[in-house]
Amino acid sequence: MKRFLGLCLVWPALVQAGGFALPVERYELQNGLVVLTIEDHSAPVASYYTFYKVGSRNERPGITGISHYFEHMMFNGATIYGPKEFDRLLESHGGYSNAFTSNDMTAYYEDFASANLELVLKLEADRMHGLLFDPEVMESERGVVAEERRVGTDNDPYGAVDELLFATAFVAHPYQWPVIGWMADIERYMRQECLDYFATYYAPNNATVILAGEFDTKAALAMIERYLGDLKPGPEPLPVVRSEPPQQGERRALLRIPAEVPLVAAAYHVPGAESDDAIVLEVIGAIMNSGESSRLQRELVFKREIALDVYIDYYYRLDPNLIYFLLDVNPDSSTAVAEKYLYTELDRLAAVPVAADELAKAKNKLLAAYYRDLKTNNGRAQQVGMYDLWYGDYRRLFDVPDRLERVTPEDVRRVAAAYFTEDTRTVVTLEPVHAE
Amino acid sequence: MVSLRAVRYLAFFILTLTASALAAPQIHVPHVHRSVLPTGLTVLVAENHEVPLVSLHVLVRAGSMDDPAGKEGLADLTATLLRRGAGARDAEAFARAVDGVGGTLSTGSGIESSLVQAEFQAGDLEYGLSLLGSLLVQPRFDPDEVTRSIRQAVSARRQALDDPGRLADDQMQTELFRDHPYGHPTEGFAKALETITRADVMEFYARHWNAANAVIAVVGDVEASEVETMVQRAMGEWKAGRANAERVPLPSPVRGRRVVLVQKPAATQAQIRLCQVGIDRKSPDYFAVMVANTVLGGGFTSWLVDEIRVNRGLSYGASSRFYPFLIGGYFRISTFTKNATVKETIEVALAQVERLRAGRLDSATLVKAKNYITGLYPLRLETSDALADALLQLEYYGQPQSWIEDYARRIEEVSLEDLKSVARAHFAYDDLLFVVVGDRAQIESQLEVFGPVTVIDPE
Repeated sequence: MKRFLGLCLVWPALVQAGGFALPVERYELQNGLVVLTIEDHSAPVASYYTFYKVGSRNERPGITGISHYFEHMMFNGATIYGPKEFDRLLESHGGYSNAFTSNDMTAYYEDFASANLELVLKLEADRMHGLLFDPEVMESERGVVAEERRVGTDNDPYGAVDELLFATAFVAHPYQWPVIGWMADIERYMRQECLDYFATYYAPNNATVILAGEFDTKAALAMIERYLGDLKPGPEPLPVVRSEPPQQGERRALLRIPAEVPLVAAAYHVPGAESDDAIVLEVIGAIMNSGESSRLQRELVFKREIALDVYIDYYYRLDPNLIYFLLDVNPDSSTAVAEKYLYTELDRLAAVPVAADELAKAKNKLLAAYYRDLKTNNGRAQQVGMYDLWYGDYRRLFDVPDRLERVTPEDVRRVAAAYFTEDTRTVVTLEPVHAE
Repeated sequence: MVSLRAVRYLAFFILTLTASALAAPQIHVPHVHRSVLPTGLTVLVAENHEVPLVSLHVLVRAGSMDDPAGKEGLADLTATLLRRGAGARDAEAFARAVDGVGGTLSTGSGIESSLVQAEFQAGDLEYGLSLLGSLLVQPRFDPDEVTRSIRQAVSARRQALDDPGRLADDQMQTELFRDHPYGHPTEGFAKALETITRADVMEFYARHWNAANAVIAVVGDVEASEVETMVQRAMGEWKAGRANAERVPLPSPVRGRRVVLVQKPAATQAQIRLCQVGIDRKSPDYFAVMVANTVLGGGFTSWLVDEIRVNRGLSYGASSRFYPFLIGGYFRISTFTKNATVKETIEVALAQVERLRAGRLDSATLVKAKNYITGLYPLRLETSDALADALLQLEYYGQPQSWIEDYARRIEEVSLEDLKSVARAHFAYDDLLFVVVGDRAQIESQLEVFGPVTVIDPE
């Protein structure tokens, strides 16, 4: 590959309603790597994100969790820097790194003093060029991931319910398996499978880099080109098929494990991030459960004391997805009663348009949360990267206040009526067992 | 569901204020305006215009260590009830007043102090302050809310049993400090909570929630010169009272080794804590201890992570941390592993402590640890809410604001000799309390080698 500073500039971010925007610039290298910069000289620090468009949705039975396993192996030795070198070099320069995996993507980041940008690029370029997959390290890291699964799923009631819920609600689409993977798969990934996975999904044309903080954009781009420009593009990854057939009847699953507090989770199929309904679902989430005056908190937690707490799980995803309502059920009440009152609230949402002041309250909550996510270089880079992943256009991030403003009471009613239906519902109940 | 590499187990410096070094950026803390109102309320204001939000945090010098014996959980319950109705607003109306403008407001207690943490959009600063003032000055403690909050707190204690890591931390605190005022979970004991009355809550509030016993920090997208007047307007009527003096004895260290096995039947993984009382916030060894602890158990390249996680794949997380208080403190190693490898994991952890005590470190290790601490420090103060909490802590511990700017230098000054000396003095090995939460049938026999084992049921 030629070294060439690709130059598909530049969509300067515009000031939007609410008067807030970020000075994002967009570039694309010849090898397909997209680079987004957010220059900001308020402090001599920076954050560097790499989003790879690979997550558990790209997996298949037998290698579930391999995307997440990669997230660990990316710290365990590459071409130039061997095992342990990545963290040792970064930490000895006062930097911090971590990563996370979702159904849709894997993201890596470094927070560092801006003088250390070149070191970060060396480290990131090295592991984008190739991983070692040392057999001994692979074995040890399997143990680490197995412990992560034990702590987050096998010995955590919420993790266990979440896993069973997705496994029950989806019968065809890859969202049916957990991001961490099934234990038997964690124990068996082969080295060759890892090498194949890397060649496809860790290529520059499947990645987006976001740099936020103190740097000179032109100089930083030249440096990025120098270290990442010679990477070869990989094959186009296979598209993920939207294979999930419509659900035609409520599904229920029961989890009987040692616990003190019963849980009940009710999930509904909803569209992915691309849908205009996605932001309406966020508004619904805020109406129902953001703050102690929200409907589920007020009715279920404080007024009736049926639930000890309520959570709503809803993320933007690339493919049609779930929203679910999870209740920590008061042991003096019952999951059946808790379910009944949850459905009463959902039916009310679908029947009666929300009052103007209640809608405004939800929007204010979401607007504040939107700003909260943009407080740090890390947060700004992450949000820009996420929106770029979901929409192929980071500028959608700056539309959020406007799109939020446009949500009407009728939108809320319509969306609730469309998706919160008994036949598309999946319910998981955790019934405590007192083991001895 | 998003899965993180290790974030949860790396919260190792929350109580610690660190700073900058050669490799690290200079710390630029915004100018902090400090004033004291006629009532004795200390007001700290700093500007940060990154996003149009403002953090309003209030610290009161009263925490779970001020719970009367038999009323464990009273401090936290009082803090909870402050937001459940104030002035003309009942609980629901107060929550609606906060939520309506998109604000957040939480209240709660730690061991040493209680906190109110609120955040509002910048345009709502004055409104937010008035809500805060109402909460502080005119809490209602409606009888129905008191009984409801007690029921909820009791249920929450039961629910805590479903989180093995949380259970381990709670039991560790109880077993390490025993009869000392630090020796119970902040959230209290279920049996004690059930005995608390509205009169108890009102008495606790009257004694501790006073202006002279409190500090407010306002940090964010504000005009600093205008804030003090607004605070005076919003809470100038707050009863002055007086500041709490130091009021607990130094906790006694554990002598010898002792193991507490907390039963968690059918668990496939055990939660492990090794602990001992530790240095206080003003210890002359503070900075050297922070550096030494980073070598042992801070970050992804610490000895604990390296030997337990990286070399052996025994756990997803391993860390050590000091919790320095105004008086005393504690030191804790945390990790977890599958049932079959509990003994091995503890042995590996102990070996790292021994290695530190034996002074087997070189200057490269020292430099890495220092750079790591100083490099991360600016990031820990990057947001308004983090800076607000840091400023409140300085006030609480009676430390000057220059402490922040000086931190990097004081970390840099730590020498290899300092490290070796604090390693022996402050990193316990022969005198340790082990708390393990797990399935007795699978792990008890593995624990006997470490000391006499007491088996308990939680709470």
